[in-house]
Amino acid sequence: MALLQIGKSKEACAGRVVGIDLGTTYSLVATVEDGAPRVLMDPEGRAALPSVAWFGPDRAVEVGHGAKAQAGTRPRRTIASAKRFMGRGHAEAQAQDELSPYRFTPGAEGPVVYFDLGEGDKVTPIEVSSAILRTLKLRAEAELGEGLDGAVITVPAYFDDAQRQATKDAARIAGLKVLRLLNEPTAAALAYGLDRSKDGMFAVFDMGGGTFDISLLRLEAGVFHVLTTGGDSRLGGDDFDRVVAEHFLQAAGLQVSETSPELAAQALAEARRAKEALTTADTVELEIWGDRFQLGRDQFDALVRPIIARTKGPIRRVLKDSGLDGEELDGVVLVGGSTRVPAVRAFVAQTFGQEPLADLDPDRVVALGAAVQADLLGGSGPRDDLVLLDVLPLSLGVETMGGATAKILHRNQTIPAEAAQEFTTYADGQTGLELHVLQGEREMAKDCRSLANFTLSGIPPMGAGMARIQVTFSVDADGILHASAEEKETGTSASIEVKPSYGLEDAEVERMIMESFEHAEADVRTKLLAEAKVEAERILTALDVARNRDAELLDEAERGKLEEAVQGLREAVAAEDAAAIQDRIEALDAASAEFAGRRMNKAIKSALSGRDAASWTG
Amino acid sequence: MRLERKALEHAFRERSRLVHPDRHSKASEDQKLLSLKHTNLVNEAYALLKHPRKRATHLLELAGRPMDPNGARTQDPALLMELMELRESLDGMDLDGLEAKEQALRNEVTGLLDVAAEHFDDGRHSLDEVASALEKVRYFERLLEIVDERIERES
Repeated sequence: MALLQIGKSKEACAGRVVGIDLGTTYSLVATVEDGAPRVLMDPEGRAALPSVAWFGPDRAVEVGHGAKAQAGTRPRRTIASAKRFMGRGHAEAQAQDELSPYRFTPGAEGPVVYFDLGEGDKVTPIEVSSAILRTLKLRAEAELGEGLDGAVITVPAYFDDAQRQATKDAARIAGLKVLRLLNEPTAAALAYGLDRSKDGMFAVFDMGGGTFDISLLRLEAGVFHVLTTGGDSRLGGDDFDRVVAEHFLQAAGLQVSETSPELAAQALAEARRAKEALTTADTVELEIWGDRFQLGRDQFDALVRPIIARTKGPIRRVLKDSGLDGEELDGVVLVGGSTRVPAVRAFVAQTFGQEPLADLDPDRVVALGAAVQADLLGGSGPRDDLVLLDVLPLSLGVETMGGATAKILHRNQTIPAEAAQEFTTYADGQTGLELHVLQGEREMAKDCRSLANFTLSGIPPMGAGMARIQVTFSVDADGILHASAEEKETGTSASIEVKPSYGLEDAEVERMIMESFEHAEADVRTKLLAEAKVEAERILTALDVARNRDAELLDEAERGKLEEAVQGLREAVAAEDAAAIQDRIEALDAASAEFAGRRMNKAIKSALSGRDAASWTG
Repeated sequence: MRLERKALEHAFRERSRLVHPDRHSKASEDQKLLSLKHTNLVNEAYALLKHPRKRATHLLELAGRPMDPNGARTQDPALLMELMELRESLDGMDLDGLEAKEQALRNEVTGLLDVAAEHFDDGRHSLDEVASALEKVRYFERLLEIVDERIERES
């Protein structure tokens, strides 16, 4: 009886996992139901949630369509395209775009960039992403039930360590357990591969609002083997909007660099509308600040051509790194809203010499693939016929003497991966060591992206050059770096303190979790659990007393059954699962009902006979 | 030393299919750790084997002639001279020139790797000849990276 119930409660938990496409302009959530992935809708029946958040005074937050609709009237407090700033520092963010409705401000606590909302308020891109994730989480919970067991969140394949870490932090703040960060093109391939179950070599051309990825992968008997990946984490459809907006601002005789946030937001919105209209229309009319302009498809194509051409470098490198030697591709898959632009499609067809595949909705395919991976990892479990092998997008290394980089893990290496490197001391009695960890392909450290400074301490004092400190770098399946260190001569493990160059420190993430309104909900859960545990302890203690006192009222079989129910409850308490504890308490109540009845009878009898009434405890 | 790329990839995928952590997402913590360790090994082996120079260097090491992985600088003045001239010749080269240079370097690397293949598979050349060929390949790879970087900037 008790064993059966354990089986049941586990089954009830399975399936409450989702895949989330956290996009630059739109985000989606999907889940697997009866073996097939399905995108979840909002109450109005819309799948795509605009990745736009408005932050009012008093930490009021509005995410999605409402926030997007009012972006033009409250530009400073409305943040769109936060994904472009994930894992970025203040200086980088400022250098990024000329035409932008945002103002930035440096953080007090670190290098993370903050959007300046005015009136002293500010918010990090991580918190913006977190607000979007929370909205999707609530949408999923409305349909699947409270308390998701986890989510697979997609990221551009070309996201570096800091950008991935920032995405994970955003999920943590939103109260989501991350089962995996999955690369967007790989997710798309998964959705496509399952749909067609065709083996072969595929290229995935993924251009979203703010990022571009190109991946080559081989599909063989259910193994999705990514060979190479490349891209540009700051190239996408937003750039089309920007170039069109800038063109018309200039035509109106306005200085682009001195555009007010209101005008910038309006011009960008008009440009986006024009871009979308031109996927089918030949010409469109824009209105910017009262002026009307005509934009033809040819003119639009000419404006965006240089941006599309920026994909050539990454494509070339990915083809070269794959070592394919001109082997034919079996298909080119289009992913991301920007691949709806006819000029992009034409470019892809020309570059790869074949018509690209676009029979799955390019806006949804990433979320669908993420849901499939979530189902494998946390839902119905692994399948014999399906496994994803992904790669590290950018090499990882350390700075050496003279400012050069020594690569430790190479780009396009299959992850998870691990590599060890030995370092030594350069002074007598030296007990600490600093390592500067970098990501990128360039020869000099200053041209690579700084990830973190590792401070090793606890090295036993020895002569210079005597210590052999082995630092093990590992990259997990999320593409995130971890490190550990050991001094080989003495076998002591040195401790590593990681100071991220751009990310949030753990304490900051904790603070944001505390500040988020999710806090209230988490409190309720903690309280429920605490109450259930107290209740369980009370019952267990009382039952122990009763069993000691009236053991003779139970035969061997009954005793065994009762013990089983007691163990069930103890396990539920140990697992800290409030719902399971409640179930177990009920089961134990049922199992002990007969015993309680007999004790009651015995007590009544002894009360009637006038003896020992005081010892009756009930 | 000679290796069919597709066969290697296939073997890699089949092993990954068995040990990959995603296939053991619901196993015990011990089993998960074991699966991760195995996967790291499989991935490391694949990364080494798919790279012809690393593969040859590994075979050389197995044959009792290890090369310093961090690269002791070559003492061969002729090679140093050649490299310096190659590097200088890149300056001011246009896209076509760079691409031609890239192809020439790649051909050269292929020829040098043949030395290793001919040794290990056909019993020709000495271990020292293989070692010096591989040393040269490493320098050329470095040079190729620079050429690639230039090409990307030019195009």
